Amino acid sequence: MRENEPKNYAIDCQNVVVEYLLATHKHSGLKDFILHHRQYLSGRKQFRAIDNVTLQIPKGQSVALIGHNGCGKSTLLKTIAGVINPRSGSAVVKGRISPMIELGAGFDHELSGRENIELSCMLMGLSRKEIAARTPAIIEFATLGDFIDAPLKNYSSGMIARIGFACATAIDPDILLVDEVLSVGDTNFAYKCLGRINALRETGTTVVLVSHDMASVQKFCDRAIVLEEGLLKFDGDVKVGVAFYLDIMHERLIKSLPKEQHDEATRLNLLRKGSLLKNGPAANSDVRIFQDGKSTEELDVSRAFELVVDITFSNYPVISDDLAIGIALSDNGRIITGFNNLDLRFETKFDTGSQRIMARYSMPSGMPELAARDQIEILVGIHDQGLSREIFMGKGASIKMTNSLSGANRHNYLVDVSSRVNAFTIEKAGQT
Amino acid sequence: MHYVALITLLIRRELKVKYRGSTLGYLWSMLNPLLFMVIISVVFSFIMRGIENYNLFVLSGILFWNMVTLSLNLGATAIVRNASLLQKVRIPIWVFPVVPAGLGVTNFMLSLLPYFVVYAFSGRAWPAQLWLFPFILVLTLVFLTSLSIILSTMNVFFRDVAHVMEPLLTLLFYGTPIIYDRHGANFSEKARNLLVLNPFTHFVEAYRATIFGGSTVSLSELEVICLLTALSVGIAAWTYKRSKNQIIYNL
Repeated sequence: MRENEPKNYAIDCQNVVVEYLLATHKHSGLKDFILHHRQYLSGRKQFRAIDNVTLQIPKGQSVALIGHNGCGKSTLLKTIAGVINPRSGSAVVKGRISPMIELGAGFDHELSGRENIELSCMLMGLSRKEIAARTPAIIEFATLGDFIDAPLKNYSSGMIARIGFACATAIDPDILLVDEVLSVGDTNFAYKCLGRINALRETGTTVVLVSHDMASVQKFCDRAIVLEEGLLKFDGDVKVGVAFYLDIMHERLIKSLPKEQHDEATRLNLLRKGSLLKNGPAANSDVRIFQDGKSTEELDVSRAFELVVDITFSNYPVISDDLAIGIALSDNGRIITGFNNLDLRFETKFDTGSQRIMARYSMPSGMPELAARDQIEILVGIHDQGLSREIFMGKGASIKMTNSLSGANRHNYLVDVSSRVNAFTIEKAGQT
Repeated sequence: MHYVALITLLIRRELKVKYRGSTLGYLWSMLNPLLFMVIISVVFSFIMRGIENYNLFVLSGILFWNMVTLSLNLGATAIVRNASLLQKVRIPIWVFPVVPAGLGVTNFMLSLLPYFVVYAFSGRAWPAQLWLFPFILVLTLVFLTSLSIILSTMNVFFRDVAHVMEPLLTLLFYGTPIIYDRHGANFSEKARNLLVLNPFTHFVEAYRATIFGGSTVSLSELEVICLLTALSVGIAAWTYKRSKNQIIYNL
């Protein structure tokens, strides 16, 4: 007997199998059909893209679908979207589905933006009445201005993505399928898109996200499904899922390396698994702000200050020269800006074993970009690029701003402060 | 019901895109066959004597044939052309081959306006069977839709189909009584009977009877048309049902 039998699933896939014909045997045309009739019908090779996948997603859940290139993520998403019929098994979906498999699918570049909105929404199942009611909101969200009545061929690719996203979310879907489409458009728009998706989630929309960006996967989803070669290899907590995925990627990397490099790569991988996965967090960290030579919790951002991250590693497994010590500054949970030493081209070098270090960022001209805030939170994230593994992530400190110009110029978009950070030093604070 | 709205929108899109940027726009749908009529009737009035109002005779046939070529040319590639859309949005595949047939019929109706204007000026008596016209138009729409479904489905599996269309339609143009009358004096019994094998012969002659006159459609002719339409629907339904799950894998 199965558990959770009466539960109401938004997506219910049972033993889904999807097979493709191998490309060499496709489009062979009449000639092959006539000349090699027998082989044509019997000898076509099948490639199993999805192999016996069973999964259920309850209404309102956000699930990440991750895996290597060609593992079947997109195929599974298309199966859920109802675009592909599985060879066997079933994919049952409840509610209106918005498949963001490609932004602007079905757009006609000869037609105007307005006409494309009508076309796109109708393809997704809206009636003319519903479309007419939603069009103003779509136009506003996509911020197209005067371009709305110009043909799409005059649009930039970002504009097309905006209008595509606006249409896909305007239909108030019960299920939203997102296939790596948020990487298009500029940061402001990506931010706006995330906000819109979050708003939909709050109203109970189920989200399935396909992405290679593990950071956004972890931020966004509670659950991860990992596919490898068409097989469902993991289904569970997103943090464990991401670690599982990174494992798969490492194993595949080792396989692709020449023989002589296998040993070192395998050693790194074992270290990573052994020390980091099993023993939990290997680092701890604390952040302090220094102004006028002393530690403070009230900051005047118009003058020079320093930001010091105090990190303690217990038993760091490898010598690492590409550790990113990232700082994010947020206002009421909304990230305003951030930077890390690797993006600023400041290098680091660490030994193995236990150690305590101080990473010091200096801002000699302050950070006037933050002047309009009353208070900011500082978050620290430490990531080892070599191990592709997050070492530490946490809230560091909360800082009051003393010279805030309350309300003035308070943007909700990300600001770039990288030019303000002009030195980064690492000092050893002795073994612990 | 939703699909009717969707298909209408897709037909409008095709028309809009077709005439976008041209000053005369939709007028070309009417102007083109008129120009063709002028050319043909000038050329053929020297060769073909004996058909009264030959220009109208030719135009009625040309308009019909334009509908057929437009529907089938676009129809053959209807699914393949929309491959990327079919792989991303859940829409029944049959919607796409229905659009070209609808487009052909829409274009045909637009071009009938100048036809009837020329007709009114010709002083010719209105055909007695004009009332049958809507009935035949509906049958044609169904017939062309079925052909479009069959061709577009076949074209997914054998891309050669789209390439065969052009010579095939040229052959059919001459093999269908469009610019000539099969019952004319210079036709042998054998040639006459050979043309009966071409389904379009029955359609074009029925049209002629309703919008040009000169002859009448008998009940048995109507039966043949109905039978051909039913047969095409049957084959289309069978082809589509059999292959619709395979189509997506072969795009």
